[in-house]
Amino acid sequence: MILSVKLLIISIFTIYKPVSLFFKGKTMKIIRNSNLCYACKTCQLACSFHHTKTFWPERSSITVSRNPQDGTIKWRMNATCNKCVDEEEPLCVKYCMYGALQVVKEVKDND
Amino acid sequence: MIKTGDIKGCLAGKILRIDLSNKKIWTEETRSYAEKTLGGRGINSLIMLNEIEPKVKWYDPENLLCFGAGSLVGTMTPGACRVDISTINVFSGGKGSANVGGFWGPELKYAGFDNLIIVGKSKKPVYLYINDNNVEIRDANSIWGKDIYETENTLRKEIGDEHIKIACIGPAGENRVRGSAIMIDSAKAAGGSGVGCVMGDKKLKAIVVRGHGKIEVAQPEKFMQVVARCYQQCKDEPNSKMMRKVPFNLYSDPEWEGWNTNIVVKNGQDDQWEKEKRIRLMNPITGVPAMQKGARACYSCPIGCMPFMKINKGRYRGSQGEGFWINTIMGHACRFDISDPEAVVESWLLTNKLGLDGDYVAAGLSWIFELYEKGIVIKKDTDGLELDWGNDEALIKMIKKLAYREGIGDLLADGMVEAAKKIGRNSKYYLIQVKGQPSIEPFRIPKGWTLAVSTSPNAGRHLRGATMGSNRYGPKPRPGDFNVTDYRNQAKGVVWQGKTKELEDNLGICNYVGTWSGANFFTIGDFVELINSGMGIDLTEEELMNQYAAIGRNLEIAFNALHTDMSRKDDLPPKRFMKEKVKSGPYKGFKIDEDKYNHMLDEFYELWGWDKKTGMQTRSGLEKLGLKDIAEKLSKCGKLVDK
Repeated sequence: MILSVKLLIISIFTIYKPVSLFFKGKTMKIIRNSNLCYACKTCQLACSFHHTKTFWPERSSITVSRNPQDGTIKWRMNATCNKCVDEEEPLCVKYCMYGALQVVKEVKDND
Repeated sequence: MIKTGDIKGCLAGKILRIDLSNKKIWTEETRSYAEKTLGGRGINSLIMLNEIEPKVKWYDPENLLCFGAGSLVGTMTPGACRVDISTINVFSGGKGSANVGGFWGPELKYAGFDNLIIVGKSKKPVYLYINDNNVEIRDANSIWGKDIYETENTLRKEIGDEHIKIACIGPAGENRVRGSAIMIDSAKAAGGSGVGCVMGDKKLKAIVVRGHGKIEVAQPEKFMQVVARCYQQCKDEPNSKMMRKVPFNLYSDPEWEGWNTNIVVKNGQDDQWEKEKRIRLMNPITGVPAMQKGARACYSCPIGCMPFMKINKGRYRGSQGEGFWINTIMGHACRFDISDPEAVVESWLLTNKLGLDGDYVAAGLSWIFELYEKGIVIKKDTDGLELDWGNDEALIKMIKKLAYREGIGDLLADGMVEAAKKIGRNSKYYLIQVKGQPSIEPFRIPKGWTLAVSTSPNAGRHLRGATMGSNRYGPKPRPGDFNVTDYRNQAKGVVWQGKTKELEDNLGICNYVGTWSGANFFTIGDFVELINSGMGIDLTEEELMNQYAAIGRNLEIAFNALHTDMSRKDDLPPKRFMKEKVKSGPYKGFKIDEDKYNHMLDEFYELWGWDKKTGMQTRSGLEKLGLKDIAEKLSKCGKLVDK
């Protein structure tokens, strides 16, 4: 029983990788479930719109690449992420149709 | 209507021109072309019509190979990733066109180009390297002869950038096999019309693109409001989940009505596949669904219809890659009566790897299987292969022979119509083709589908207006009494669906996400708002459908008229299906009633504004669309009805 709980915790942390820790001045997490990601790059594009009001993937905080031959997907977020401060929710999360990106919760500073 | 100088957004701005014979590279402005046609395929069609003389054949250096990313490609419009590839159709001699998704089209726009037009022929194998404004014609010795996967891997290694996007041909295209595809991102095929054959004929192995630029829209906030609404429509649409399920959504249920209406078995001998074979193929534990390892989406696509397949057991263990579609079931399973799931997946992945069009493989090779059954070809002709129905190993070997032109493959590589001439003995009767291109489509049961396939200007494919079952019929509100097997009401639906496809190809929106297939994320009103806020123009729904959609189709019909002898007789379905009835299943006894089909065709011509008797365009119809110059051209050749 204890072993299976441990395995469950390990697997959750393996699948869900926190990629952004700060949002609207409060700590929160955007998590990406690699099993749900379809690598459509909509998050990358939406992020670029947030930064530039144009569609400019090179200016996105997110970079997605995928290998169609072995099925691997690489998803990276860099330090330019400004937590979508002017939006109701991060655009990458808003436009992910596959539920791969999620805001988990807002965490208080003293948490 | 769009006036000169109106367009203020969405376009990358330039058309890239390459002359492979003289190694020249130049650009021109996109704007004036987009003002007439909106973009994408429309621009390709206009350039082909203006610049290719009627005497030019597909293998002449003067033939153009045109790539056009739609005007909304590169923005966040759902499903706006599509590229039209147009050239002279190697089967019909008329307009050829293939449409493909993936990531290459958006990358082309970020590099600064809406369209890429290639003329001439290289003496040696070359590839194009487009890195924003730096465009080079490079030697392709290191990749010539390689399959699609090897080509992509070699180029990535050589160039050293994981973000490059590649459109390339495989051995099939290099060998000028007529049904060759241009493959994008390893697995997405621009398959129809022999576009890969033309690329191989030009000795152009690949086009590598890397773009670092941006696409601007005229009214960013307004545009994003419409985009947000479309994504919400996607979230709210009950079909979304089903469409994402793959493989291949509704067909995973052996009882799904599509199995009864849309399937052709053993090269057209029947339109009903036994239930136990469907169950074997689609068994969730041991069949195709068990081989799915996740799914993938094209650029900015909310559907994600592309399964990643991996064969973990059996004779084909180890094969993997993206792709398994309804066409895989229709073509590689039912047409050959193959229900072994690993074999069907393997044959599809192999087709991709060799750069072949899956439909050409399915329709062409199942024809040879039937000729073998009938004794018209024998073991001596097939290099010793026993082409019995269900023999998947024979199919796999035949696919390789076709791509590499080995033995009987060489005979079939020049097209099945040519092969039938050489084989003789009534073999042509059994060949299912429209305007020269082999076709896998169902003709006897779904009547709107038959009409759309038979009248498609790019020869025998269903994406130019095929209407589907009642749950997938396009225009809203959907007619309650719509029946796919009825001749009535079909022409109207086919024209509507044909027009929306014109818009989708010009805008670069995948019609699987758009108005077809049941996604219903877009209405025509959404198209209007996206175009108006994105491009900064002011069009109405009526102008979009009656003017710009109509221009798209008329440009292709005019091209066919100028370059071929096609007429009404070429808009008829294969004769075989007027004679032979469906043998089993709920539609047993169905065949095409020629008179009723012709009545449907009359309605279709009338709705498009063409002459019923000949199928030709009319002067008044073209002038109304502002295509007076094209009317003159047609008139000089005697290909216009003066009314």
